[in-house]
Amino acid sequence: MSDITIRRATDEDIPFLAKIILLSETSGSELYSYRTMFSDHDDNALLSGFERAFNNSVPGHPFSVSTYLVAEVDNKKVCAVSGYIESPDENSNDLITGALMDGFGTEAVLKAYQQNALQKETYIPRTPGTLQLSSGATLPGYRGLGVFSKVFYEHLAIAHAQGCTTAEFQAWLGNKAIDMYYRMGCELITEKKVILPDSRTAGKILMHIQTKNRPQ
Amino acid sequence: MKEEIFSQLTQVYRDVFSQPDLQIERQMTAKDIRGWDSMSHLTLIVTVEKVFGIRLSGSEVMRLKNVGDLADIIERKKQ
Repeated sequence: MSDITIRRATDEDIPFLAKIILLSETSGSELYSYRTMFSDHDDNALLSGFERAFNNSVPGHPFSVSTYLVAEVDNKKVCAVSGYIESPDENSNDLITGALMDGFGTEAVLKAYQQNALQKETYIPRTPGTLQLSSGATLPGYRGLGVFSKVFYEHLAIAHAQGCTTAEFQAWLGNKAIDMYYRMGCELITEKKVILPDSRTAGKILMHIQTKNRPQ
Repeated sequence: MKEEIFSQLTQVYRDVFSQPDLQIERQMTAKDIRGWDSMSHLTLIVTVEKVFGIRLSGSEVMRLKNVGDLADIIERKKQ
Protein backbone atom coordinates (compact mmCIF):
# COMPACT_ATOMS: atom_id res chain seq x y z
CA MET A 1 0.00 0.00 0.00
CA SER A 2 1.19 3.53 -0.69
CA ASP A 3 2.42 5.68 2.18
CA ILE A 4 -0.30 7.70 3.84
CA THR A 5 0.84 10.82 5.65
CA ILE A 6 -1.42 12.96 7.81
CA ARG A 7 -0.88 16.59 8.69
CA ARG A 8 -2.81 19.60 9.97
CA ALA A 9 -4.32 21.75 7.20
CA THR A 10 -2.97 25.22 6.42
CA ASP A 11 -4.43 28.15 4.48
CA GLU A 12 -2.81 26.78 1.34
CA ASP A 13 -5.22 23.85 1.55
CA ILE A 14 -8.35 26.03 1.42
CA PRO A 15 -9.22 25.22 -2.25
CA PHE A 16 -8.82 21.50 -1.47
CA LEU A 17 -10.92 21.78 1.69
CA ALA A 18 -13.64 23.56 -0.28
CA LYS A 19 -13.71 20.59 -2.68
CA ILE A 20 -13.85 18.18 0.25
CA ILE A 21 -16.89 19.97 1.72
CA LEU A 22 -18.68 19.67 -1.61
CA LEU A 23 -17.62 16.03 -1.96
CA SER A 24 -18.77 15.22 1.57
CA GLU A 25 -22.30 16.07 0.49
CA THR A 26 -22.55 13.68 -2.42
CA SER A 27 -23.62 10.45 -0.75
CA GLY A 28 -26.97 10.72 -2.50
CA SER A 29 -28.88 10.36 0.76
CA GLU A 30 -28.86 14.05 1.71
CA LEU A 31 -32.24 15.66 2.26
CA TYR A 32 -30.50 18.97 1.84
CA SER A 33 -27.00 20.15 1.20
CA TYR A 34 -25.16 23.33 0.32
CA ARG A 35 -26.05 22.54 -3.30
CA THR A 36 -29.77 22.64 -2.48
CA MET A 37 -29.48 25.52 0.00
CA PHE A 38 -27.66 27.70 -2.54
CA SER A 39 -29.36 26.23 -5.58
CA ASP A 40 -28.73 29.29 -7.73
CA HIS A 41 -24.98 28.69 -7.39
CA ASP A 42 -23.17 26.25 -9.67
CA ASP A 43 -20.33 24.15 -8.24
CA ASN A 44 -17.67 26.73 -9.11
CA ALA A 45 -19.65 29.44 -7.33
CA LEU A 46 -20.14 27.14 -4.34
CA LEU A 47 -16.40 26.41 -4.16
CA SER A 48 -15.61 30.15 -4.30
CA GLY A 49 -18.15 30.75 -1.53
CA PHE A 50 -16.64 28.04 0.64
CA GLU A 51 -13.17 29.52 0.12
CA ARG A 52 -14.42 32.92 1.29
CA ALA A 53 -16.16 31.25 4.26
CA PHE A 54 -12.76 29.94 5.39
CA ASN A 55 -11.49 33.51 5.71
CA ASN A 56 -11.90 33.73 9.47
CA SER A 57 -9.76 33.10 12.52
CA VAL A 58 -12.48 31.77 14.79
CA PRO A 59 -11.93 28.13 15.82
CA GLY A 60 -14.50 25.44 16.53
CA HIS A 61 -16.44 24.87 13.31
CA PRO A 62 -15.90 23.22 9.92
CA PHE A 63 -15.08 26.48 8.15
CA SER A 64 -11.99 26.80 10.32
CA VAL A 65 -8.92 25.56 8.43
CA SER A 66 -7.09 24.43 11.55
CA THR A 67 -9.83 21.92 12.41
CA TYR A 68 -8.87 19.78 9.39
CA LEU A 69 -6.45 16.92 9.11
CA VAL A 70 -5.32 16.29 5.55
CA ALA A 71 -4.12 12.91 4.28
CA GLU A 72 -1.67 12.64 1.41
CA VAL A 73 -0.89 9.54 -0.62
CA ASP A 74 2.34 9.78 -2.61
CA ASN A 75 2.38 13.53 -1.86
CA LYS A 76 -1.10 14.04 -3.30
CA LYS A 77 -3.86 15.42 -1.11
CA VAL A 78 -6.62 12.84 -1.16
CA CYS A 79 -8.67 13.15 2.04
CA ALA A 80 -9.57 15.64 4.75
CA VAL A 81 -11.81 15.57 7.80
CA SER A 82 -12.73 18.39 10.18
CA GLY A 83 -12.61 17.75 13.91
CA TYR A 84 -13.29 20.25 16.66
CA ILE A 85 -14.46 20.26 20.25
CA GLU A 86 -18.02 21.56 20.60
CA SER A 87 -18.00 24.56 22.92
CA PRO A 88 -19.99 24.72 26.18
CA ASP A 89 -22.31 27.19 24.42
CA GLU A 90 -22.94 24.64 21.64
CA ASN A 91 -22.45 27.48 19.18
CA SER A 92 -20.83 25.78 16.18
CA ASN A 93 -24.00 26.21 14.11
CA ASP A 94 -23.94 29.95 14.77
CA LEU A 95 -20.27 30.03 13.74
CA ILE A 96 -21.12 28.17 10.53
CA THR A 97 -23.83 30.76 9.87
CA GLY A 98 -21.29 33.57 10.30
CA ALA A 99 -18.83 31.87 7.96
CA LEU A 100 -21.55 31.36 5.33
CA MET A 101 -22.44 35.06 5.62
CA ASP A 102 -18.87 35.89 4.58
CA GLY A 103 -18.94 33.23 1.89
CA PHE A 104 -22.29 33.88 0.25
CA GLY A 105 -23.67 37.12 1.71
CA THR A 106 -26.22 37.58 4.49
CA GLU A 107 -29.26 37.77 2.21
CA ALA A 108 -28.37 34.54 0.39
CA VAL A 109 -27.89 32.69 3.68
CA LEU A 110 -31.15 34.03 5.07
CA LYS A 111 -32.97 32.95 1.91
CA ALA A 112 -31.32 29.51 2.07
CA TYR A 113 -32.41 29.02 5.69
CA GLN A 114 -35.94 30.30 5.07
CA GLN A 115 -36.45 27.86 2.19
CA ASN A 116 -35.10 24.90 4.11
CA ALA A 117 -37.72 23.73 6.61
CA LEU A 118 -36.11 20.28 6.67
CA GLN A 119 -33.08 21.76 8.40
CA LYS A 120 -35.16 22.34 11.52
CA GLU A 121 -36.97 19.00 11.27
CA THR A 122 -33.74 17.01 11.05
CA TYR A 123 -31.73 19.05 13.53
CA ILE A 124 -29.78 17.01 16.06
CA PRO A 125 -27.96 19.01 18.74
CA ARG A 126 -24.24 18.53 19.26
CA THR A 127 -22.98 17.61 22.71
CA PRO A 128 -20.71 20.24 24.32
CA GLY A 129 -17.23 18.94 25.05
CA THR A 130 -17.33 16.20 22.41
CA LEU A 131 -15.11 15.97 19.37
CA GLN A 132 -17.25 16.81 16.35
CA LEU A 133 -16.16 15.08 13.17
CA SER A 134 -17.63 16.50 9.98
CA SER A 135 -17.06 17.57 6.39
CA GLY A 136 -14.91 14.56 5.61
CA ALA A 137 -14.34 12.85 2.28
CA THR A 138 -11.78 10.97 0.23
CA LEU A 139 -11.21 11.65 -3.43
CA PRO A 140 -12.64 9.03 -5.78
CA GLY A 141 -9.87 6.66 -6.79
CA TYR A 142 -8.38 6.63 -3.30
CA ARG A 143 -11.28 5.04 -1.47
CA GLY A 144 -10.98 1.60 0.12
CA LEU A 145 -7.33 2.18 1.02
CA GLY A 146 -8.04 2.97 4.67
CA VAL A 147 -7.20 6.65 4.24
CA PHE A 148 -10.39 7.99 5.77
CA SER A 149 -10.22 5.69 8.80
CA LYS A 150 -6.60 6.68 9.39
CA VAL A 151 -7.54 10.37 9.48
CA PHE A 152 -10.59 9.58 11.61
CA TYR A 153 -8.52 7.68 14.20
CA GLU A 154 -5.85 10.39 14.19
CA HIS A 155 -8.53 12.91 15.17
CA LEU A 156 -9.56 10.56 18.00
CA ALA A 157 -5.96 10.23 19.18
CA ILE A 158 -5.45 14.00 19.24
CA ALA A 159 -8.72 14.58 21.09
CA HIS A 160 -7.96 11.77 23.56
CA ALA A 161 -4.58 13.35 24.34
CA GLN A 162 -6.45 16.60 25.08
CA GLY A 163 -8.77 14.86 27.55
CA CYS A 164 -11.80 14.60 25.26
CA THR A 165 -13.38 11.17 25.72
CA THR A 166 -16.10 11.04 23.07
CA ALA A 167 -16.39 11.82 19.39
CA GLU A 168 -19.69 12.46 17.65
CA PHE A 169 -20.74 12.80 14.07
CA GLN A 170 -23.91 12.94 12.05
CA ALA A 171 -24.79 11.17 8.82
CA TRP A 172 -27.76 10.98 6.53
CA LEU A 173 -29.83 7.82 6.74
CA GLY A 174 -28.93 5.62 3.79
CA ASN A 175 -25.35 6.89 3.56
CA LYS A 176 -23.27 3.89 2.48
CA ALA A 177 -20.45 4.97 4.80
CA ILE A 178 -22.57 4.11 7.86
CA ASP A 179 -21.63 0.42 7.56
CA MET A 180 -17.99 1.45 7.62
CA TYR A 181 -18.60 3.54 10.75
CA TYR A 182 -20.08 0.51 12.52
CA ARG A 183 -17.07 -1.60 11.53
CA MET A 184 -14.82 1.13 12.97
CA GLY A 185 -16.52 0.75 16.34
CA CYS A 186 -19.01 3.62 16.17
CA GLU A 187 -22.41 3.30 17.82
CA LEU A 188 -25.80 4.73 16.91
CA ILE A 189 -27.05 7.25 19.48
CA THR A 190 -30.19 8.71 17.96
CA GLU A 191 -32.13 9.13 14.74
CA LYS A 192 -34.19 12.06 13.48
CA LYS A 193 -36.55 10.82 10.78
CA VAL A 194 -39.05 12.64 8.62
CA ILE A 195 -41.70 11.30 6.27
CA LEU A 196 -41.32 12.85 2.84
CA PRO A 197 -44.28 13.82 0.61
CA ASP A 198 -43.62 10.66 -1.46
CA SER A 199 -43.96 8.58 1.76
CA ARG A 200 -40.24 7.77 1.92
CA THR A 201 -38.57 7.93 5.31
CA ALA A 202 -35.38 9.92 5.45
CA GLY A 203 -33.37 11.77 8.03
CA LYS A 204 -30.21 11.95 10.04
CA ILE A 205 -28.47 9.80 12.59
CA LEU A 206 -26.09 10.70 15.37
CA MET A 207 -23.25 8.25 16.04
CA HIS A 208 -20.49 8.31 18.60
CA ILE A 209 -17.26 6.55 19.49
CA GLN A 210 -14.99 6.71 22.53
CA THR A 211 -11.72 8.42 21.65
CA LYS A 212 -9.77 5.59 23.35
CA ASN A 213 -11.44 3.10 20.96
CA ARG A 214 -8.93 2.99 18.12
CA PRO A 215 -6.37 0.57 16.72
CA GLN A 216 -3.01 0.57 18.51
CA MET B 1 -26.40 56.08 24.10
CA LYS B 2 -25.47 52.76 25.66
CA GLU B 3 -28.78 52.54 27.56
CA GLU B 4 -30.75 53.57 24.51
CA ILE B 5 -29.05 50.88 22.40
CA PHE B 6 -29.70 48.26 25.05
CA SER B 7 -33.34 49.26 25.27
CA GLN B 8 -33.75 49.03 21.49
CA LEU B 9 -31.84 45.75 21.46
CA THR B 10 -34.16 44.33 24.09
CA GLN B 11 -37.10 45.07 21.82
CA VAL B 12 -35.33 43.42 18.89
CA TYR B 13 -34.81 40.24 20.93
CA ARG B 14 -38.46 40.28 22.05
CA ASP B 15 -39.66 40.62 18.47
CA VAL B 16 -37.31 38.02 16.96
CA PHE B 17 -37.97 35.40 19.63
CA SER B 18 -41.67 36.32 20.05
CA GLN B 19 -41.24 36.75 23.79
CA PRO B 20 -42.81 40.11 24.80
CA ASP B 21 -41.51 39.89 28.36
CA LEU B 22 -37.97 38.79 27.54
CA GLN B 23 -35.34 40.56 29.64
CA ILE B 24 -31.85 40.46 28.22
CA GLU B 25 -28.62 40.85 30.14
CA ARG B 26 -25.13 41.48 28.86
CA GLN B 27 -23.77 38.03 29.74
CA MET B 28 -26.68 36.10 28.20
CA THR B 29 -25.85 33.64 25.42
CA ALA B 30 -27.86 31.58 22.96
CA LYS B 31 -28.32 28.87 25.58
CA ASP B 32 -30.20 31.33 27.81
CA ILE B 33 -32.81 32.20 25.21
CA ARG B 34 -35.63 29.81 24.36
CA GLY B 35 -36.05 29.13 20.66
CA TRP B 36 -32.52 30.03 19.59
CA ASP B 37 -31.46 28.24 16.41
CA SER B 38 -29.53 29.07 13.24
CA MET B 39 -32.55 30.70 11.67
CA SER B 40 -33.40 32.92 14.64
CA HIS B 41 -29.72 33.77 15.05
CA LEU B 42 -29.54 35.03 11.48
CA THR B 43 -32.92 36.77 11.78
CA LEU B 44 -31.59 38.55 14.86
CA ILE B 45 -28.52 39.77 12.96
CA VAL B 46 -30.56 40.97 9.97
CA THR B 47 -33.04 42.75 12.27
CA VAL B 48 -30.21 44.42 14.20
CA GLU B 49 -28.77 45.64 10.90
CA LYS B 50 -32.11 47.13 9.87
CA VAL B 51 -33.05 48.67 13.23
CA PHE B 52 -29.65 50.22 13.91
CA GLY B 53 -28.69 50.98 10.30
CA ILE B 54 -25.40 49.10 10.46
CA ARG B 55 -23.79 46.19 8.59
CA LEU B 56 -22.19 43.23 10.32
CA SER B 57 -19.80 40.88 8.55
CA GLY B 58 -19.88 37.17 9.16
CA SER B 59 -16.51 37.33 10.89
CA GLU B 60 -17.79 40.02 13.24
CA VAL B 61 -20.87 37.93 14.01
CA MET B 62 -18.69 34.88 14.69
CA ARG B 63 -16.76 36.75 17.38
CA LEU B 64 -19.89 37.69 19.34
CA LYS B 65 -19.92 35.71 22.58
CA ASN B 66 -22.99 37.18 24.27
CA VAL B 67 -25.59 39.94 24.26
CA GLY B 68 -23.08 42.42 25.65
CA ASP B 69 -20.72 41.87 22.70
CA LEU B 70 -23.58 42.58 20.30
CA ALA B 71 -24.53 45.77 22.16
CA ASP B 72 -20.89 46.90 22.12
CA ILE B 73 -20.39 46.37 18.38
CA ILE B 74 -23.64 48.24 17.66
CA GLU B 75 -22.38 51.15 19.76
CA ARG B 76 -19.01 51.17 17.98
CA LYS B 77 -20.63 51.08 14.54
CA LYS B 78 -23.08 53.85 15.43
CA GLN B 79 -20.29 56.24 16.50
